[in-house]
Amino acid sequence: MKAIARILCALGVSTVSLSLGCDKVSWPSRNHIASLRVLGVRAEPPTLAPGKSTRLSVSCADGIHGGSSDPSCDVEVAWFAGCDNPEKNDPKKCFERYATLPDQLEPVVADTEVDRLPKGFGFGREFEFVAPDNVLSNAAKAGVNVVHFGSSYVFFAVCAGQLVTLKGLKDRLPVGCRDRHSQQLLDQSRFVVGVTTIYSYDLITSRNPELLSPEFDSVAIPESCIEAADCPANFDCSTAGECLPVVEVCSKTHQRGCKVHCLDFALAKSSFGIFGPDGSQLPTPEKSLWLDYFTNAGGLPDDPTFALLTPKDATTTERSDCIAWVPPPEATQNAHLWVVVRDNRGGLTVRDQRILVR
Amino acid sequence: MSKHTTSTRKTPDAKLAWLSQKANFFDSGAVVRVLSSPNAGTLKICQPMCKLLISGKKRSASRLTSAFGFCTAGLLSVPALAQPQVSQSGDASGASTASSSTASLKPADDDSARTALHPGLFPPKLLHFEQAVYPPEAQNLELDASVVLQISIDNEGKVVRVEVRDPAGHGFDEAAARAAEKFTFEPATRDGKPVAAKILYRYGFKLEPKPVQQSSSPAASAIGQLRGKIVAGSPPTGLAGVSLSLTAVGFAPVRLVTAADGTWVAAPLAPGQYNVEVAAAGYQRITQRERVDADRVTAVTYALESSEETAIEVTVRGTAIHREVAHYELSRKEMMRVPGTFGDAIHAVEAMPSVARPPAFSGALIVRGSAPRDTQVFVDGTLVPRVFHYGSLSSVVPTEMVERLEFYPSNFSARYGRGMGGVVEVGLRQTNPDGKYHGSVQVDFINARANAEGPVPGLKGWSFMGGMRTSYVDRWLVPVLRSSGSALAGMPRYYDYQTYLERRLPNNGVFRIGVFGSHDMYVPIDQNTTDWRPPSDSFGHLQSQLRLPLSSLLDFRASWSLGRNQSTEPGENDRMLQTKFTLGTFRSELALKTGSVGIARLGTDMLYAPFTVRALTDSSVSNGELASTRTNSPSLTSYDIHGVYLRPAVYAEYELAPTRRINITAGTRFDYTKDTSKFDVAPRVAARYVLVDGATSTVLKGGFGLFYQPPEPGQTLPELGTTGLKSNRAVHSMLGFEQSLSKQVTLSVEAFDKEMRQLVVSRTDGAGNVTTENSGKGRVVGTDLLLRYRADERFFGWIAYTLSRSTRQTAPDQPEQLFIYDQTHVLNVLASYKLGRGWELGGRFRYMSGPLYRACQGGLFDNATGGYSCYGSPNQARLGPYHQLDVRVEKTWEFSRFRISGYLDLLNAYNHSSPDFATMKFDRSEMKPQSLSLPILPSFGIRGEI
Repeated sequence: MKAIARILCALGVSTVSLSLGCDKVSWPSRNHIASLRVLGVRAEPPTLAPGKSTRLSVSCADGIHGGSSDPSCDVEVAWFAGCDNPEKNDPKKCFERYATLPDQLEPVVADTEVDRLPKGFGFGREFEFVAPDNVLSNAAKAGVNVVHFGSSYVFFAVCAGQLVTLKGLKDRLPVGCRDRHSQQLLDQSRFVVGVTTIYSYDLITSRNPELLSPEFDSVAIPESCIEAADCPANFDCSTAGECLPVVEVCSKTHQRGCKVHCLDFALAKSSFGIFGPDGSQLPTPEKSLWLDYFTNAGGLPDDPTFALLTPKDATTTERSDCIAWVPPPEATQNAHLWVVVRDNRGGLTVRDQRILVR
Repeated sequence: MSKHTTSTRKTPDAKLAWLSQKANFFDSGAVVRVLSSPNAGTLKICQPMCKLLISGKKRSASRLTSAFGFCTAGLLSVPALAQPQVSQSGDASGASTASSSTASLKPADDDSARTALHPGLFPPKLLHFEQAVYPPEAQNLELDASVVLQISIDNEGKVVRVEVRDPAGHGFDEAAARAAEKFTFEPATRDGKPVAAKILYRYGFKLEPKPVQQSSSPAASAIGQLRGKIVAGSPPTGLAGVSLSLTAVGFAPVRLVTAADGTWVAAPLAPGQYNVEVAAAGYQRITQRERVDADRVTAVTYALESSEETAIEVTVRGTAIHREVAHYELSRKEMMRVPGTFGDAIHAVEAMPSVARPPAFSGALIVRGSAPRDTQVFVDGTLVPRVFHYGSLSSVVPTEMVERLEFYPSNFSARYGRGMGGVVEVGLRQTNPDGKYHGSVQVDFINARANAEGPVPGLKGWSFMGGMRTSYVDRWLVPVLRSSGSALAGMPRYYDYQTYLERRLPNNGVFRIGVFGSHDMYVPIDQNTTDWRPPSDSFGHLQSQLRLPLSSLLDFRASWSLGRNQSTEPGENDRMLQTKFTLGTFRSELALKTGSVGIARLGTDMLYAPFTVRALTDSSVSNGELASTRTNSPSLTSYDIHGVYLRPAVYAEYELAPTRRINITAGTRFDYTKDTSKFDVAPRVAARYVLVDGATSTVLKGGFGLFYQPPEPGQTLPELGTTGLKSNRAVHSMLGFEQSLSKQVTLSVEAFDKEMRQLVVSRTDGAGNVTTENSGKGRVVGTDLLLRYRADERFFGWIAYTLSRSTRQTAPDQPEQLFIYDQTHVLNVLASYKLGRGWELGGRFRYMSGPLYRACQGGLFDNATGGYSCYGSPNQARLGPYHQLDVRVEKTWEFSRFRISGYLDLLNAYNHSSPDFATMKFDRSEMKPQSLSLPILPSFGIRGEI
């Protein structure tokens, strides 16, 4: 049957259809967390004026041990700032300036004393970035009717082992990640390198998306609890004081026929707006927001990325569409559903929803 | 073809051609002339007691010579036997000779008839003479000879050994020896006792005309005559210089050439059946069987038809050399039989040198390292907006209507412009001039096509040619795929149509007007899907062509077309791009012969295209926003753009051929592009020199020139592109030679170089801003090799190999990299052979370097989008090579009025899967090759034509 299907498939090939099937190589889904993954780097506030600071923090998950294990990430993080308004706004032109950093750091980055960390370099889950005073004056004018902005690129390296310096690299960050026990360099499943963009404006600011009123299967999730009775039916109270949904395992083949659970949120209107110097929301321009979600156990039957609509007026908020999730076939206390909401001015919010599967 | 037998009559003085063989008999010194009949199946040496065959009649043995070594003469209607002629001869063996004026016709019955060599010593006496078969090779070459044999005879008179002492070659030696082995002798005697002996024997073969006979008997003038006339055209006119060949079993071919009025005479001819073959350049070869009767004249008239298989190299008024030096052509016979192409003419181009393998099913022509959009395809001078149907299963041009296909990979003449790649010019054939209706139907599992042609009823002098093709693979395959739950999104469905009216004008002129068009769409597999909306594409053109020789010196030709084109490409959600344009083209050329050494050409090439672009797409980025390439952003912007593309051009060219060996073409083309407001001037020169003339000629060739290509339409729109752009520019250089190795085999080698500057490049920066500028440059260097056996009645084939390197640099600060379509090695080996009895077998093997892909050293997570880009310096890597064998088998049944063919095209005969592109894991950490190769795929088809 497979051979016949392949021949039939081959008979029916076309330039468009081939992109969607027919002997397609299968890769693991990007929305299934099966290794060390960076869900996002949040800057608070997400936009700056020159000379102002923002705090960057990494949200990550580690699914290397499977869906039954705790996905919290035990990582070392290094930060590399100092690349502002590069030529043609290409962040890859920044790497060369970091090539001499290994001379200023210990071979094992964590061994470097805090007061010896070079300017613009940070180590730890959080990093404070200060926008240069000249970030706007050095930026190319975008156009007559376009709000002038400056771009600052901050690189980060997230390592599930030990960060070490690597010398002689001009096209990459001069750090690697090695296993603490074997001392071998780890690959991308344990070491993630990324970049985030911080926008600087003179007169306007933006805010990170704000997720409100979460609901699981149309049942509002309380913010906290002391005991199970504080939670709705089909919820349980965790030792950390959270109401966690309780669901049944899905033991059917390919998860067909199992109940699809929904998680959704309301978004504060401020998530969509731009604010003036006095803090009032400007009528225009508006931001574009989109939602991405991930899991370490179970399945995601729908497209895990979709846009969030702009509220129709000042008084209403908009609820997201159903974030659909199907439980795994085995019971676990560590099933997670992560929701990442981004906007197109550097704003980001990550929500982690743990689910009990029994 | 038609013939007409006019009359037959008796000839008064018939002459009979006859043949003779001469045998020298050393021991008696007798030279005997032997005559034989041309009507016999083989030439026979009549010898004593042999039976004579004269037009089937037999002569009695009493008229023959005696059995003692003499042969009779005067076999065929020769009343008197030729007298044996005796001559003196000597040899190294010392055999004495004797002379005699007459030969005894009675058997000698005592030794007194033999001459004593020595007192008491008598030589052997030939009792039985064996006639040899005249060697066919020598007969065809009209050779005669004599072979000296040494014959060893035992004491019983039997031949024990024959050795050739003096060979003559051409089969004479073997024929003489075989005959001599069957001689029998009366043994030599010494003192009355038989002894063994060796003799030298000269066995002669001679072709001689027989003397004219004066007999009034009908049998005495057993010759006939065949005469006729060769005509062609409408009205029929005699063709001078046409070659004819008359062959009959047992006779040497008779070769003739027609006189100025097309007449010919073949006489005298022996009665019988003759095959008459007529061959004339530009006409179909014909073979007819004619009967020649004795004493009669048979008159015939043959009307020749234009050959559909002629690869016309003549461009204007009999110029035999193409003005383009980089040029390959395909005859209709070849393009219909290239294995693996389903008989598609444009697909056959992909088997030529300089053509790389395109991405699977893309229907692109990649010529000498250029992008597909750089190469243009014309049908009778009209630009074809879309060459291949969706899925690239077939082109929009029906091969049945194609007469010739010219392919210029570079250095084309000034009559073509607006392109830096190559040019494919498809020439449609004229309608059949025989005044009858013809047509064909072809059906296979993908599509069906039909075409018809003939005179237009009620319109004298007009004829029509039309055809249509429609696909139906989706109709039977989509239900199957639906029920099997296939992951495929859609199947192509298409049709195309062509209809022309034609009128022939005086002096080989023609006027043609017609329509051609095409429609393509995809049929979704999943009827309920809302995720994918199929694209569609259609065009329809009105086209006309005029070729009008104004005088013996002046030739005018023009073509124009007007058509409507529309394509719709839906995107995700409501995104959409719809393009509509009206394409009007006009080309004209005036060619003037200047004396006997040159031709001047002046031409125009106009393109006018009002267009509308409607799009609903993501909003353009601003204010520090990033391009949302992977989101369903609701921020869509609609565009409704109207405009006009106007691109007029003129060119002038002079082709100089001061001698038969030299041909130089120099020209300049002037282009104006309204959307860039720029003029481009493109001078070009090409030359050919016949270094060695003759059957194994050597021709040197070279070319150099400037070629411009305006920016793509979207690149100059103010809303979507950039103003102030200049045309892409390329300098083509080419040097090569053509060596004729034989009448059918040629070797062509070309080295080429293409330097490209001010290439229009669109780049997106890290903030998503798109800029378009003339910042790019590129280079292509390479060599083509083509070893070709030109199509004859049975076989054609070639080996085409290209070695090349194509690079691009998008901006001065960017590194030079291999171009995405670069393929270092491109090899095509193909052949097709007619086995006989209607069977034909062909095969094509292709080997190409694998496609390039961008290799990452890992991924860089982009927090703004959640996606990954390549980390580290990008590397180019190449996937594994592509290779495939296609086989074609065809069987044709010929009937008196129609022909049926059944064929099997077997693609990928050894079921090899070649990688087509690389897929990356979402985080760029791994790569896997993916193949789009078809598995072994048989395609059956049936074709009928009348």
